[in-house]
Amino acid sequence: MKKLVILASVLSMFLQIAKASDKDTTKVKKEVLKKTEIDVVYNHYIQDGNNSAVTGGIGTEKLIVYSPSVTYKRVQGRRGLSLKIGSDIISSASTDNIDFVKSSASVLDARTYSNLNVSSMSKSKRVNYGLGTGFSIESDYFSLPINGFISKVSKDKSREMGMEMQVFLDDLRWGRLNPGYYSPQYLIYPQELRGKDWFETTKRKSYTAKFSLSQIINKRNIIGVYPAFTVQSGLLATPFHRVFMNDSTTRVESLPEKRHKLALALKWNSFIGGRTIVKQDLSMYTDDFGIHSIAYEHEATFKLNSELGVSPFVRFYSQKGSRYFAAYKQHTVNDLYYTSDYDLSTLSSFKIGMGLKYAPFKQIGKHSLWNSVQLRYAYYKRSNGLYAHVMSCVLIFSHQKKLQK
Amino acid sequence: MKTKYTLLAFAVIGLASCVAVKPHEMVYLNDEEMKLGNSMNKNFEIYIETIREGSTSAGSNKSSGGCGCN
Repeated sequence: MKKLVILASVLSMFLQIAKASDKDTTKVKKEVLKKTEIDVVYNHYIQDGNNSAVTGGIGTEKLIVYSPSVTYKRVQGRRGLSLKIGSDIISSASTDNIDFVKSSASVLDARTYSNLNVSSMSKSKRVNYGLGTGFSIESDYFSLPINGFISKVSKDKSREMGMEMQVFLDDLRWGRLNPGYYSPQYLIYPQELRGKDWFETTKRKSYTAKFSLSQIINKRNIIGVYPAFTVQSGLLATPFHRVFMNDSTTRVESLPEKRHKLALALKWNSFIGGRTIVKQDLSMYTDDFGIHSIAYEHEATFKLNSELGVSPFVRFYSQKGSRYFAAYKQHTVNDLYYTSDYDLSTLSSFKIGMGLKYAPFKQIGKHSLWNSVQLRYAYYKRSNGLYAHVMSCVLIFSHQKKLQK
Repeated sequence: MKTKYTLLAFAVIGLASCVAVKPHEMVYLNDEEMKLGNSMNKNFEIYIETIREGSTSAGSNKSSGGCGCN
């Protein structure tokens, strides 16, 4: 509650600063531009591996996710609005192993989510601020996000600084989407471990403060620095993850009820020659679960002509695992916290792929445009054998009209 | 410690080498591909990476929660 009051105070401060900056005087425009954009996105994810946390670090991780979404964005004068609605339809072999009943309802799950964001710009057009909220719901998870941001551009437009606060209020109880219930009931444990309540809380709270600084270096180079700090509290373990101990007993995953995360990303985009853009991204991360990681991503965009561009990319990632992780039957009965979730293990990963963008800006009717179609494919491989194919397709349409004020 | 000093040195050299760019010279910087934010189709990859890896990237713009436990 105390954190919510602090968050409300910070958001209120944002609005006061933004209001103050509105005092800049400029001439009132007689015409206001109304621009609408619709983004249609389809993502497809195929994964396989043999270290499922549901079965204690052994067993199939076969997974397919079908993920369509639509985003509506509207900018009218200095005010902006965006509404995103999407769904992830998940076909998972591992969640079927919670109760070992094949072809049960658990084999197909769905996450539905929506986000609404409103923003406003100061009269000087140098300060942008906004608020957002939404929801994410699946049978065993509900998440309520709340966020606020403010950013300011320097007078010569060479520098931009920003700050964003995010809060996620999550509830891990099952039953919201299940016939006969349609309300949160209880945590879902593995079938053979349902005799007792393993956790006192069913809630998870995440508070994140993000900062950003982008700086133009010269006519062809721009850099960005993005620090972020997150505090999580509540039920941070997943209640249907099994852990097999070295005395052959089985328990539900156990993790501390507090986690602090610190992350830093550095980005550098460079326009080389007349047709090539190189993007470099270095990310570092540390937390008090004992995870430390570093990632480097390199992407080059080659503009074949004014409408068509291809973007090959590659990413390397290295992670030192959590002190609470151990493999199948490696945890001792004296361990206070334990998990066999390989996402938290010591690992490295490699991603390679290609993006294709066709942007014809083709006129549809009097005021509408088909802006672009973007296709992207990535192959992801993790050092423990897990691999994935990630595909996405984005279609962007826009509508622009001048309104008399 | 050595890494921290190297990064700090890069940051100082980088910022010291900044030059003023006039609005009419921003033709390359204004290109859609030069934006520092993530493209929409890359966002999904970042979302997957935050689930399949133990870390959460500072550059990601996660917009909704979710179990991510499959």
